Amino acid sequence: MLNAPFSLRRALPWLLLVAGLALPPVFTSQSWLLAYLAQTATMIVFALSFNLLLGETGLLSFGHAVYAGLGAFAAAQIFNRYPVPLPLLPLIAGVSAALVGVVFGFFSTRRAGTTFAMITLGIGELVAAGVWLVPGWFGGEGGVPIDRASGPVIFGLNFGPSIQAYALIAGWCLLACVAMFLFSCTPFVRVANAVRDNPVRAAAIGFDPRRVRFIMVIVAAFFAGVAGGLGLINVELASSEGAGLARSGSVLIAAVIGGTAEFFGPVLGAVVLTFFSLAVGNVSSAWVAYLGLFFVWVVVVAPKGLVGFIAALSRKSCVVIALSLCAAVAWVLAIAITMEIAYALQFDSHGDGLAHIAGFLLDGRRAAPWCLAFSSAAIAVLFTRKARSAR
Amino acid sequence: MNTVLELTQITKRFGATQILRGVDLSIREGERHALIGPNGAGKSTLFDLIAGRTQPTSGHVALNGIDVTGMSAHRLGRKGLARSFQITSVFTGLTVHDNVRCAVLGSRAATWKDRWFRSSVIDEAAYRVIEAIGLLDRSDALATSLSYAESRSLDLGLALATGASVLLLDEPTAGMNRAAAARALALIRETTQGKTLLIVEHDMEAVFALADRISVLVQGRIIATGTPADIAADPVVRSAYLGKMS
Repeated sequence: MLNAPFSLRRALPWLLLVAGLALPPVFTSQSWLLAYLAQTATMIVFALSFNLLLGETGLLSFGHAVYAGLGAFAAAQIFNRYPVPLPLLPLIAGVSAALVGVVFGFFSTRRAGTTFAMITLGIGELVAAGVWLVPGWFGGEGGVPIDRASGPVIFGLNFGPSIQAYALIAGWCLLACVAMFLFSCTPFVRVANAVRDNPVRAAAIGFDPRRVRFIMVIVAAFFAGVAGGLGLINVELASSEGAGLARSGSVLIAAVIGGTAEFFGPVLGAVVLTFFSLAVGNVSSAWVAYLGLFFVWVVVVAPKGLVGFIAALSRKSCVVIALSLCAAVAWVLAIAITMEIAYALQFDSHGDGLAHIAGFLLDGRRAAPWCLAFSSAAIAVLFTRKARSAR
Repeated sequence: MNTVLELTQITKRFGATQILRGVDLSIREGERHALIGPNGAGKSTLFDLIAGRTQPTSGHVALNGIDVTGMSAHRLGRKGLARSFQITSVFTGLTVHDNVRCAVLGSRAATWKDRWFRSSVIDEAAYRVIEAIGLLDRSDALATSLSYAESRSLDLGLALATGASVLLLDEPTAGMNRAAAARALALIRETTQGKTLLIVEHDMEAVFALADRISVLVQGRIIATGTPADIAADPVVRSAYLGKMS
């Protein structure tokens, strides 16, 4: 893998990642854009760390945010007490999270499968409750704030301006991605794959499955902690939400949406998830419903995730790709119209059933928008069938 | 000759069911020892127990003179005992090469450094095993894509690659037709030169062709141990087991 010949197909995801992180701030340095990209970068590291467990070791964790959250708390406390340079914060968060991983991994790795999943769920609940019980350490409702500009100045940078903080986050994101990629190429991770596929046989060739899982949990916890540190630099706050079950769920969704079988699957999943929660969430309160639908679609139609789906689609003819795109647009239109007018009728503060979609005003109390949604869905079905039969 | 593997008064009970009722068995260095017996005699249980997958209710297992009773499977693996499985058991998500390389990494010869960095020593050892089991041209294929006979070979290859001196083979020709079984046996004979073998096998032809000695397990007890000729002539064995088959 490491000594494989250079090819565009291998290099392309890296180029896209670097371009995606580095180019937008060159053209504009609006703060919302930087915040958006910083969240994406954080989620990328977080989802990749999650996939060290799910994809590489076959361990489904429902409590991965515990490591990111506790890492961020530890880093925030240390940063507020000692003159630590800000660029080291992700490292501090990572090491703290790895220590937490040593403790929790010890209890959770004896078995894989459902047992592991249930134990991580329990640990997730435990930590979420513990964070509220000890306000002295975790700051209670307000969390533990930091002032990122308060650290020692390095090379004339105090990281107060968001462009400086973003550069730091993007750099750490790339560093962590490269580190996890190199790690995933080691023979040890092949052994982790072996434990994932067949723990009994892995034991028969001399590896203790528990020990292998334990090491993978610690490494995954470290990188989750790094992600927690990046989030801390971005929002200058370590909060209980960062360690909560909702965040554990979202990283699971990101990894599965992108695809757990490929290294770049979780990266794409993180980009998509951040897109839903920030970009879609900005214009529609129904974004969770959209994300949920999309997640179900991925699980049912593209079990190998978006990366696997795109790879399969790219092997087909241009006609099929064009038909699939048309079907996708028609589906999005049908679902968006239905969802928006339904939300406008039920949950809007006005409850008047008026939905604004891309400048158009749709009235949910009249039949016209519903007919539009229905015909759009009918067209979508037609395109989907055509795309399937065209091959 | 030295005794490599020694079982003394092994019993195993699952709840009220007594599977093994005091098994004594000693395997000599370098021999090919076959364990035969009717279905339900406890062969697989005995195998799992020797390989550390389950623990005996009472009795002792000694490997090279060291008591290894109840030792876990991965530690036994490091002590030079390897096994193959009756139901093909490989790492389906990995290529043939990665399968074998993992097994080489599990051997005593591998250092911690080999597990974190690619090493040419490990790659060469893996190459030799893949060559021996005849899968060189499938080296980069995923284990799931192998044919049945190929995955059986890989299963054997995993046991070989650990560099173990004692091999437990659980029905290596299970589910094969005559021709494939003959090829599998030839492969076993070739690749296990100088190693100690304990084989569970149903195919009597295969057993009599391959084994130096045979032990017969009936209802949780070894009723006879001897050369193929002794066993074929043993009246107790004939009435308890072989007689039923003809």
